[in-house]
Amino acid sequence: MIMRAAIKFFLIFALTLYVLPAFGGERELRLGLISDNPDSRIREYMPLMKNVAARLKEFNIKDARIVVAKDVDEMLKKIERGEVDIIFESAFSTIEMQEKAGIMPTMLVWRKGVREYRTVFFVRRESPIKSLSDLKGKTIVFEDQKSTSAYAMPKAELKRRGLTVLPLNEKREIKDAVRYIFTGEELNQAFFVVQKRADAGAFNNNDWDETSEKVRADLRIIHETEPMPRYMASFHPALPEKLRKAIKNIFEELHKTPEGKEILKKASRITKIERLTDADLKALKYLKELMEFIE
Amino acid sequence: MHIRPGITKKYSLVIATAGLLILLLTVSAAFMVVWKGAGDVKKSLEENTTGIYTETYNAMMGSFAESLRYNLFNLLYQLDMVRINRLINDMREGMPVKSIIVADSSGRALTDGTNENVSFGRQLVIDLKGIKSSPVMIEKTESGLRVVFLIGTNDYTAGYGEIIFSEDPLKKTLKMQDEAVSRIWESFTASFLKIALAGTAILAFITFIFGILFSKTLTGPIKELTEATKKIASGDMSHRVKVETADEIGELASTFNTMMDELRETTVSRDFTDALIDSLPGVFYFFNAQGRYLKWNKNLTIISGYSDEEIQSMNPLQFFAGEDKHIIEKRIQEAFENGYSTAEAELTTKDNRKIPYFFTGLRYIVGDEPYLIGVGIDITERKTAEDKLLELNRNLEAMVEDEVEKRRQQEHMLIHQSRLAAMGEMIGAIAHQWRQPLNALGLIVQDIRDADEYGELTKDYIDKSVEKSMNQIKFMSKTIDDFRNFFRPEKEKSPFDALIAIEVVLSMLSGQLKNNNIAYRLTCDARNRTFKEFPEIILPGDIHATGYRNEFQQAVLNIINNAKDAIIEAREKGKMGSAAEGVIEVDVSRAGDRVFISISDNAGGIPEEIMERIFDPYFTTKEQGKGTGIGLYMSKIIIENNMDGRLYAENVKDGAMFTIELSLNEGYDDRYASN
Repeated sequence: MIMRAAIKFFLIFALTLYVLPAFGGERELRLGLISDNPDSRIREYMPLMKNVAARLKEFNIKDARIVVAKDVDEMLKKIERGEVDIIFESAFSTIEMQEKAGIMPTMLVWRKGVREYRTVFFVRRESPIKSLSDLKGKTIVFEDQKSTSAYAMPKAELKRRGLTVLPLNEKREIKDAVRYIFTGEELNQAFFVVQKRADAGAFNNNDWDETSEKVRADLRIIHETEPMPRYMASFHPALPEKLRKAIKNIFEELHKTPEGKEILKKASRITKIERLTDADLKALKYLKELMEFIE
Repeated sequence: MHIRPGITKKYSLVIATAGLLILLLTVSAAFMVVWKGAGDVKKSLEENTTGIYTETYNAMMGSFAESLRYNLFNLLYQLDMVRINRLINDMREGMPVKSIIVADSSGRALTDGTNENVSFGRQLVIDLKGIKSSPVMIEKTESGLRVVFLIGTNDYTAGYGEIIFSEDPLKKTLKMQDEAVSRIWESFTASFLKIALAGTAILAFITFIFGILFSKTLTGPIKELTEATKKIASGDMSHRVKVETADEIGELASTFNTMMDELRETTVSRDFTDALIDSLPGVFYFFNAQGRYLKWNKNLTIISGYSDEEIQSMNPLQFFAGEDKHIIEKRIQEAFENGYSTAEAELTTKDNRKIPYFFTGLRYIVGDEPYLIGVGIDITERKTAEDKLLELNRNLEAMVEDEVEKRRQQEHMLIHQSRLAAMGEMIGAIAHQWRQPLNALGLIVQDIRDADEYGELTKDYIDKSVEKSMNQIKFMSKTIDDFRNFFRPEKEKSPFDALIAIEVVLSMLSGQLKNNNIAYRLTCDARNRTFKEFPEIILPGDIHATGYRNEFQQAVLNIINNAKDAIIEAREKGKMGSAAEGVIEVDVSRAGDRVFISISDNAGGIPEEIMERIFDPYFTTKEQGKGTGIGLYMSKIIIENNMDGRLYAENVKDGAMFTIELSLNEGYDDRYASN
């Protein structure tokens, strides 16, 4: 693992040496995003990046470009080729790209008014289950396989605590395994628990807050994970420090003007962008640990 | 022009009425058809709707619930709450639903479709046994129509559903149908309108075609009349229509021709009048007693700047301003009262220029109504000329005054010069006058010394000598007094005795005259005598003139001096013998209210060629240094300008005669005569 990371860093370093001269002339500021809908992402984020690029003329930035990858692997390749300068991604993906390509998580991005979230584990109110360890041999309901907060994160958390987590009908001989099923929607997760179709459920704290009060009254939280940044902005390691600093300053100030607010809102409803705090760095450390348990 | 046989008004009315009736019937029929059709449709729809309510409503509800049961079953079975909520919300939008609740198999509410989901956990009231046999139950409640249904199959109950309708579905359906009927009715109405319009258009077309055929016979002659009218309007007054029928059209054509004859005369007359008025050099106006303009010429619009429309609404006084307005108002009133008036005033134009005009106003009666007719002539040039003349007069007066003043100053200067000259003459005269008494005084003084030497100087001798001396001294003193009086200026005219005044002059000159062997005579017709010697002529006179005595004396002195010089010159030039006695005669006479003083000499007269110039200033025939040329000129000025008299010269038998003509002071003379 360490060897692989060292090779990656070496490659990036070499690439940096190759790319750096390009900064002597005019160039574009490139934002990397992961999505299966490039058209929408480009339209949403272009005003934001053009605004930022316009303020960076002293760095020979003449324009902006949005680079969309369909998944993390493709984005990793683009990072390696030096095709992106900034990457906006979820915390998990950011950590993965940090591990594999050396990107530099620098800023926390608020989306839809949410700074961070955590996964809550819940059971029926009258359930005897008190903690995660009580879930041995029980059934837990997740949203779907793509969900971070309602699948990957709770599953990793359970595994981190030494529990075996398996689909409902897999390896039935392992009795202590926590069995999981999918409902496709967070709301359904809650009703599966209420209607005793499952013993527990897990989704993020925002979904919990949005669940009807009457329904929540029938449920009880038994565990909450550490907070995880909602969205993150990272820099390509080859980006000059002065330029990084300038971009950071611009990002920080954007939400303070009506025009800035508007272009942030258009870009996937971003509320504001701020620097990572110590608590955020601690959370990232936790997420890195958790990543060890994500398949 | 040819007039075709006409169609009478009666036929036209019949055809028009028939056409109108057909049109009304068609439109009414169309309206009835549409109205009945629309009513039938509406009735049918209402009947059907009522039938649904009364007969099939329960079945419909049952079908609806049945459908919902099966739709919800799979979702509830899978506990897909998201899609259940979506279905509930879809139902809410399509039906007048107050609430929909989906409950689990125990009748415990799972969701009402909202995010708040306040119904969650509520136990639904369900007749569990009854619903097994009848899966859809409908009942009326206070909050609305309640439908409860079982979600499941015959073998498995997934849960229950409850719908409460907030409104009777029939009412909503009827309302919707009413709206539909209204739309249909509107559609029918629109169709009716289209049909009616189409029918009307067809009928109008038929009527139009018929009308064209009809009007060709009826309007042909009218059209020709119209053409004739156009020709007349364009100025062709000679145009006439031919009368070929005896009906109304023929009568109309005949009347038209008659009217044209009269109109031609009227138009020619009116045009002539208009041309005459417009050709007037000034402005023309014709208005009534209320000041409303009835006629005016183009000049009034051009000069005043007001349009015909504006003048139409104007009052005559509006053309004037200030004092002129009152003058014109007075003159208009005067013209209306007396029949005629004139005025000079400034016409104020629209752009506020003021033009002086001379206006006339003549009262003109039409019927019982008085009008005022008149013209106005621009007198700007005359006024300007008058102003210039006034200015010129003012300047001229000043120039004349200036000239007179200059002249006066010049005269004063000449008078002064003349006086100085006279003084010179007088000093000479005094010298001559004093020579004799000085000699006498010298002899007396010498005689006293001789008498003393010879012892004859007695008291008696001294007294006599003193007396003689004093007589000589008095004479000399008188001479000086005369001289001083002669030059004392007089400020006011006063009556004086011409004879005495002349005597004084002669007495002053007597020495000189004698010295030059010139005799003088003073004759006076009033005394009927001639004075030859000085003592003789110092007598009270009785010829009184009015004026400045001293100046008169100066004039006489000048003339006598002139005569004296003429005689001396005549002797020198041999015109008369060197020893021949010169004679100067002064005659004083009166005739009516005039006094005539004639001074004549025997020096041969004045040459005719210079007769005209002798009174000119600085004109002299004397040798250099002997004459100034101002003596006679000054004498004429004194007599004619200062004393309102006359001085003229003429040649008589042996010489020249100068005559001074003055006014006689009768009053003074009478008073004196009475003494």
